[in-house]
This record gives sequence, C-alpha cells and structure tokens, in this order.
Amino acid sequence: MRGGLLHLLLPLFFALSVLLGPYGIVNPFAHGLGSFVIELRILRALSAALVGVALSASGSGLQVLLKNPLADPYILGVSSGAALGVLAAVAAGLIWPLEISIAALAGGLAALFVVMAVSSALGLTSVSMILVGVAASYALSSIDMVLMMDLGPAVQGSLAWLFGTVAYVLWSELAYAAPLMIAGALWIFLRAGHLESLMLGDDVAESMGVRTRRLRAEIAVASALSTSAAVAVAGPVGFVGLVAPWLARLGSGGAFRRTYPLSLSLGASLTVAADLASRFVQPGGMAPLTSITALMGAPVLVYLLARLRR
Amino acid sequence: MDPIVSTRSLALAYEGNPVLSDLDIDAYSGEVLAIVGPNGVGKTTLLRAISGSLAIAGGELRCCGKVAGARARLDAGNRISYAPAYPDVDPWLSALDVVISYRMGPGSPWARPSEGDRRASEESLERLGIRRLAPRRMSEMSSGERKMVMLAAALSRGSDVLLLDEPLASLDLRNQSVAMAAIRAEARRGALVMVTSHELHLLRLYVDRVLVLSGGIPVALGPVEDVLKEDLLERAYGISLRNERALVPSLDLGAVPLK
Repeated sequence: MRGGLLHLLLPLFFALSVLLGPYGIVNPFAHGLGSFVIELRILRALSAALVGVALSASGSGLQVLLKNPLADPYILGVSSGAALGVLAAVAAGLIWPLEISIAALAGGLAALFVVMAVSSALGLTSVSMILVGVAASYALSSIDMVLMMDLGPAVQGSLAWLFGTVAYVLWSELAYAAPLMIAGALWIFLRAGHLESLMLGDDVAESMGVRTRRLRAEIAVASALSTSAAVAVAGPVGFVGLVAPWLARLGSGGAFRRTYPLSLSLGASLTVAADLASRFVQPGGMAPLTSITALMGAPVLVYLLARLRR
Repeated sequence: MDPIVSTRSLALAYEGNPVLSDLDIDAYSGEVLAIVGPNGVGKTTLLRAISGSLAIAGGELRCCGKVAGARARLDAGNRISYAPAYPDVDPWLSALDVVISYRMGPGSPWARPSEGDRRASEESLERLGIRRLAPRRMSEMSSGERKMVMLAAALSRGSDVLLLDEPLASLDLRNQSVAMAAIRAEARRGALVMVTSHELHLLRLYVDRVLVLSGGIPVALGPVEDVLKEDLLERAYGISLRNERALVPSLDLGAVPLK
C-alpha cells in the first residue's frame, strides 16, 4: 500500500521526543530527576501527537467539505474565537491554566456556533460557510487585538499560548481535551465514506443517499470540537491542519477513505517533530510551534508538489 | 410490463420557485428516453428529483419500487446512477479513483476497493475508450475527458436506472459516438437510460422516445420520429425554423455515417 511506511514516522518521532531535549539524552528507566524529565517529555509528546491528530482530522474534513484546498481548521473562526475566550478570561482576572484552557474551548465553539447559524440562514453551501467563517475570523481577531492592547502586560502570560506551544500543557488539561480531540477525529472517520462520495460532487453524493447539508453541519461541528480542544491545549498551532491532509494526499492518492488515516498520523508526526525541534531552536522550548511546523512542513509540501509535476 | 420510473401529476420546484408541473410519464427498462426543451425549462431538475437529490413539490414519483410523495425525496439506493452535466469532482482525484469511489458509494469507512471493484472500474474506462486516462488527475483533463470519466463512473455500477445530464455535451465526434454506443448497450442490458440533450440531430441515433418540456409542462412524449416535428419544435423553443433555416442545423441527419 502506497504511503504505508509513512505511519512509522510517528513512533520514531515520539521516541526521539521522549529521549531528546535540552537536558540531553535521559535514560527512560532512571529514577529521581530523570524520571521527572521523562514524564514531562511524555506529556509534551502525547499532547503534540493528539493536537496533530485533531488539527489534521479537522483540516482533512474541512478541505473536502468546503471544496477548498486552502481550508484549514481555523477557517470557520475557531482560533480567533478561542483567542477571544482566553483574552476575555485574562481580562476577567482568571489565571489558572485550566480556567484559561476551558475559556479557549468555549470561545472556539461559540465562534463556530455563530458561523453555522449565519451560514445556515444563507443555505449552508461551501461558499457561504467559507465567507462567513473568514468574515467572523477577521471580526473576532480585531476584537482580540483591541483586548490585547487594552490588557497590556497582563497578556504576557498568555503570549506563549497565543503563538502555540505544548511546553506548558498539564495532565489535567489533557485529561479533558483528549477525549474531545479524539471524538472529533473519530466522528469524521465515521463519515469517511460520505466525504469520499462528496468528492464526486454534491449532486452525485446526493443521488447516492448522502444528505450534503446534514453532512456539512456534522463535519463542521466535529472539526470544531477537535480543533477547539486542540487550541485549548496548545493554542492556535498553525499549518499542521493545512499541510498534513496534503502530505497524505500526495503520499497515498486522493480517495478520502485512504488518505484520512495517513493524514492523522502525518499530522501527529509533524507536530511531535516540530515540538522536538522547538526545544533546540530557543532555549526552554519557547519557540512558537507554528513557526516550526511551517518551517518544516512548507519545504516538504513544495518538494512533493514539484515531484508530482515531473 | 410495469414502468420502472413513473410520475403522476408530478410538480417540481427549485428553491421554492415552481419549475415543472403536470408530469405524467412512464419510462421502461430497456429504453433510452431523452428529455429536451429550452434552457432552464427543468430538464436537470427532473433528473435530480428522480436521482433523489431534490424533494418533489407535489404529485407522486415512483422509481424502482420506491415512492415519494409531496415534499419527500426518493430513495432508490444504488439502483440509480446519476452523472451531472458539469462534473464538480475533486480535481486531485485520478480517473480511476473517481470510478472506484463512485462504484463503492458512501458506506462503511473501513471499506476498501475489492479486486472486483478495481477490475470493473478499469473495464468501464476501457469500454469508453479512456483506459489511458486512468492514472490522470481530473485537473489535468479537458472538460470532454472529465465528462467521459463521469460517464464511465456512472456506467460502472450496472444500475437499473441511469440518469445522464447532457451526456454528449462537450464531447468530440468520436467520443459522442462511443458514448451513444455505450448508452445503447446499457439499454440492451435492460437499464432505463434517461438523458437530457440539446443535440436534437443526434437523437435518432441512440434514443427511443423523447419527452419535450416547454413553459413548465410536458408538451410531447413519444417515439423520436413522431415528436421531432417542425411545428412542435417551433412551439417548444419559440423559434421559426423556416425563417431561421440557415442558423438551425437540419434535423434530418438520421443517415449520418457514424459507424
């Protein structure tokens, strides 16, 4: 099967992520400080992998649903809504990581709710969803900016989150976000056959019994669920949800049932690898994940596209 | 013989606006039925209603033993295959991907194409003389080639009812001939093939009966030679064939040597 070997990247990067870091190679079976470092690294690698799965699941679903190769998990306003949630929480004086993270989740889902309500009134087509989503993103981002200026130094604490990172994830955050991320990805998987038919065109899919309006609503909700949970854990990590579906398509052909599992595993690999690289780019792992995912993913994407043209 | 598709006082609307009404048609397995009429008269709407992608506005629609009443959609499962006039297929799918995905339909997320799916899909491309397009992506094809791939996909399932929206439009002479032969073969196999068409001069070559729609109602239904009469077409399309002879292709092309 084409692309099957690519699944092996995930365990490879995961192992490297647990073994390597600024504190050097740590014996995973050591006691004392060593085991503490290992636990932190496992938490980071696990968070990164789940965030990668959630974002690439969401991106895969939305690219097919919206018939747009540039669709990413944030196209329906989820990330700017989540940021608004966080900033509002900071403005309200909340400081506990769990509170901030739940505020992000609530903000993301609220943004999707508004986008779906408005685009439903406009017929819930690919075009209406994209336009309303992009409009909402801009509107919410502008409020985000005003709030950031307003809050001034108080934002500092959330800055790492706003740029995307898994360096400070807590087990308690992962505990509630992981089920949501997995549920969203699983929901999209259960509709893989329907999405594959949708790739043949709305009319053809309808003639096969796919109710495209309902499918659009379902996939939008499922993707917002996994995306909001991912954003709540790691902030709006960019590029993974856009590029992983494409890497999968270039690696294993076009049909959705075939590309989806590969897309999830590549999204997880890319995020884990990016988090690993971030530890060495800036001391303390402060480099925003988005910059690393984009710096690593963009050349691979361009290379694959170029190879395809030959 | 019982009709496989039949309508009684069928009324159709598109986004709330009435399109067609008073449709009483019986269509039978083994025939090719063409739907003709001016642009925007509702030919595609009728095919979409039968394909189950559109709820009907009133009357009754029967197909393959299933019935739909007012405001309901028909659900005849995979006994129907539909090919749109302008395929809106993901541009990154290869021709073979398209046919295989079409054959498999929605269904289980675990489903993988069987050896049989693969072989039937390749045969369907072969039958339309486009086997060489199999690995090519849709974005790399001409509109005519895309049409042929969609036709191959729709014919690959051996459905009882084939709904083909303008199957010959944007095809070259050779592909038109191949497509017409394939459509006839489907009817011989026992399928009902419903096509829409603006190529009135080709109808005698592959169609058994013609339904003429005009002004929101059916104005004629019968064998090709009975229906394609000058006065009827003048009324249906609102033109004068005598005065515009130079601009209207002669309909008397029954003897064109395509074989």
